[in-house]
Amino acid sequence: MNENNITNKAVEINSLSKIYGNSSGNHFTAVDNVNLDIRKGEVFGFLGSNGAGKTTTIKMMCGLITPTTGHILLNGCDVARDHGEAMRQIGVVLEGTRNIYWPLTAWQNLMYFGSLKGCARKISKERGESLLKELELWDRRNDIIRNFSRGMQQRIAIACALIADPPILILDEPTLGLDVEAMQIMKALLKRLAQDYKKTVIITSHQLDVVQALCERVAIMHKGKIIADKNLNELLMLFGQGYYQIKIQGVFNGHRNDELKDFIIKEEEGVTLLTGAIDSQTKLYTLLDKIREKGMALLSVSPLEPDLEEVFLKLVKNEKEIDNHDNIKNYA
Amino acid sequence: MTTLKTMLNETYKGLLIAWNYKFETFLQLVMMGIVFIGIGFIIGGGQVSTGQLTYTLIGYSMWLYSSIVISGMCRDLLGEAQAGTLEQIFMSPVPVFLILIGRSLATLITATINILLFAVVILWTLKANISLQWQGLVIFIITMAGLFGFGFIIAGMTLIFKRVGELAGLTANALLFLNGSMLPVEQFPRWLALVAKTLPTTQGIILLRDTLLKMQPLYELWKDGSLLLLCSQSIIYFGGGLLVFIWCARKAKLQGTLGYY
Repeated sequence: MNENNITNKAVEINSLSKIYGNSSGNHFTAVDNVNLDIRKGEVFGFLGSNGAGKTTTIKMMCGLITPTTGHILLNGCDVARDHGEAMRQIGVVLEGTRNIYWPLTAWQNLMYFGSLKGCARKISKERGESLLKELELWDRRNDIIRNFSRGMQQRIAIACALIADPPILILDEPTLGLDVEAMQIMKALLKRLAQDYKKTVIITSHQLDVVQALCERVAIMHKGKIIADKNLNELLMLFGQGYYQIKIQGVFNGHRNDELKDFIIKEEEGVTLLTGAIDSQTKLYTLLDKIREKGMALLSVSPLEPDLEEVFLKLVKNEKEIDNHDNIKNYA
Repeated sequence: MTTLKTMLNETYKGLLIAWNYKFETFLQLVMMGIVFIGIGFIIGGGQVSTGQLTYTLIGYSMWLYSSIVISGMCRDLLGEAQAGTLEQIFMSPVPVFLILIGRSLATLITATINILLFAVVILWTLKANISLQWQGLVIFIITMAGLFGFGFIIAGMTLIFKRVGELAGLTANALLFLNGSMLPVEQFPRWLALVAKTLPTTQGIILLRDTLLKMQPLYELWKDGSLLLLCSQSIIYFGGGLLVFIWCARKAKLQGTLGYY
């Protein structure tokens, strides 16, 4: 047994890069020296804007794109050297509307993917039945996938990814295109998979609320690099600490002085909400004093629950500013 | 054992999907019949000669195989890329070229059912017959191995160049005139006959006619070297085709274009 098999790492990515080149000598770095470990049983979120390199990284993990440098171990199996064994470690639903055969029934799809993953027919049947019952689709097992709703198709795709009981489940944009109800069902399903079945789940999504609701740890990619890799709470506290909402009665009649420079001020039904960052208790009290001096009635002061979307946007914005600064320096 | 099961699983899936398109297949059969009778009229100078038609039927049937295999492999792979299932196949623990062989078996079975149905109806309508012999089956199998090898090359190219569909269609149609389906290769100009004989199915058609119509036994075909030529061609096409497919799959993974369509 490989030494890595006895470690607690489900995924190990070392010095992973992917550089695309064309015949005219232009190069594009899609993934730039990524190092990442994902623990067994962890629910891991991969975030990034379009073209950040998430899908390329995921596809390299699945052996669908050959890295330029670096290597990936899935439960200790090297994707490049031991492709067959590495593939037994993962069940994958890639981005897109399909991952399964639409002309076939749900049951035929499950049996096909079971065998494709090297599962014995008897085991596929047992697991297929249990998965369909779990997903509340057992009664529709003999229906053609084409006639299913988008949410049901996505659930069948996940069932197919799980048919061989892989320890790692990789989901690229699993909630894309789902309506609110289907998204709630999907979130609950993914939560159950992580909690009840102890799977390592890797999710990429643009829907940050989905990632915030499900993931324990989140990595953010920008221009092929990982710019943050932290536990969800740590990540939220990066920018979330010191955010307050101050509620006052009536219309705000003060000036946008230094304390309120970056505040969002909204008036709703006779109440004014002042929302923004205050990095020290002293500044908070100073601001409250000023509000009192203006004769405005204070209704409440509450620290704000940090939001992943805000953290993500700030991190990416910071990176863009660094890029611009570097570009200007290089130009000069 | 697992590998064999996975290959047969691919065959079974191919047959299930083909069954879903049975109405389209029936229409294709009708179309095949109309085109074949039309060709018979042209070759017979406005008349249908039974002797000429049995001769042409062998060539035409083999061309149908070529057309189904070459266009089908390309269309299926592009269809799967579009459906997102191609990448799932590449994530199987079983090497993808073995899955491709399993898939080819499904294509062979469905094509054989279609072409047999077509041939039986034509022979019955024209009150003609072809004496079926086991030697013919041996030649058919060897020819098919070469044809599928050629199909693997087209399939491999499809993984890299996504616009191969038109080329595959063109190649399949060109074979109708170049593989001796309509006219014996001996009647071609010398240079064209040389080119034609390197194509898959040309030598197979010649030998099938020799066994089924001229009743030549296999050992005579072996003695004059024509069967050896067919075997060599099929080995080269099959082996070469698999190697090209594997190479193309690697290239597509390097370029990151595997799932593109």
